[in-house]
Amino acid sequence: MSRAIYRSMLWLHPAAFRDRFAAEMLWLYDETVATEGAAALLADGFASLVRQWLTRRLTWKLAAAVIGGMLQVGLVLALSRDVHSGRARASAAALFTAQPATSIDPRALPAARIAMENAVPDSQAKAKAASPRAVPVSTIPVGDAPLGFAVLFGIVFVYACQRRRFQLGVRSNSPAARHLSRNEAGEMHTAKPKSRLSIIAD
Amino acid sequence: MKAHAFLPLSRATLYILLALAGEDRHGYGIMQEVARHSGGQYKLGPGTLYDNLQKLAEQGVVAETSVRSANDDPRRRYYRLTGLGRSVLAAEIARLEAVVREARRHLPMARPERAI
Repeated sequence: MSRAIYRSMLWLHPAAFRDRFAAEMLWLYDETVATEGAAALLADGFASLVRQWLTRRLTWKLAAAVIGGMLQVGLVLALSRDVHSGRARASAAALFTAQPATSIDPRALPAARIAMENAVPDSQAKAKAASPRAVPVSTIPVGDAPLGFAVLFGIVFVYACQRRRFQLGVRSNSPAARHLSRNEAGEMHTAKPKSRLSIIAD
Repeated sequence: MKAHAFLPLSRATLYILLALAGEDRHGYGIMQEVARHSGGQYKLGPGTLYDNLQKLAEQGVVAETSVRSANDDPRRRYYRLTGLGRSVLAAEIARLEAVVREARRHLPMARPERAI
């Protein structure tokens, strides 16, 4: 029974790891189950499964980066719309004057007032919209560029982190260890701080 | 890549490199050697072992060898330390020696007691 569970656990590992090590791991399970106990080996197998998917795979990090980038862009666009409508100014003014935001008229605020004074009346705006040249600035789809940049930045950032972690093999760096990290010539060398992922990978 | 970039090593990594320092070993041999080195206090499970071996192989610290004896199980794979692996292990041992020196300097009680 426990062997079947262990075998299933091995099957759940990423394909590259499974193809390379699963047969030998199962063989080791058979060799050590009598001495180590099935529970300890199953726990070890489960820890390996979690490590493989969480710390060795890049896929979920890329997905998180893309979603995070999209959320950031959405937030920026929402704030941008609020600023143009004067609501954000009202909120900020309410924060500093300790008045409820609803009691402040955005038209009383300088920038918003100037913008409203320069605003085109509705009839003129409709006439401009009818002409092919008159494209209001606010209708230009500027949201795509920041979205693309944010997603690209997220992907590059996560890739760089992942690459550096694999190359350097970053490990724990307590203050004492950092203080004592000297080579044989007595030169100090610094190590990177321990990340949560590297704790799991221990 | 410099060996110091890998420091400090995790406990599992240190014991695996120590086990491979003497000779090339397969997974079970590494597990037995780790238990022997630690006096049975630290036992490496197959999952932890192969997870670390995969990472170390990707980093070029250990490599798989083709050396097999005639009566070996075909599922067994042998691993050896690379030149970089030996440098990493030497650097870690030097670091640990420095830690022990510093500890002895700051903690006089840690020194061995004199025979009266």
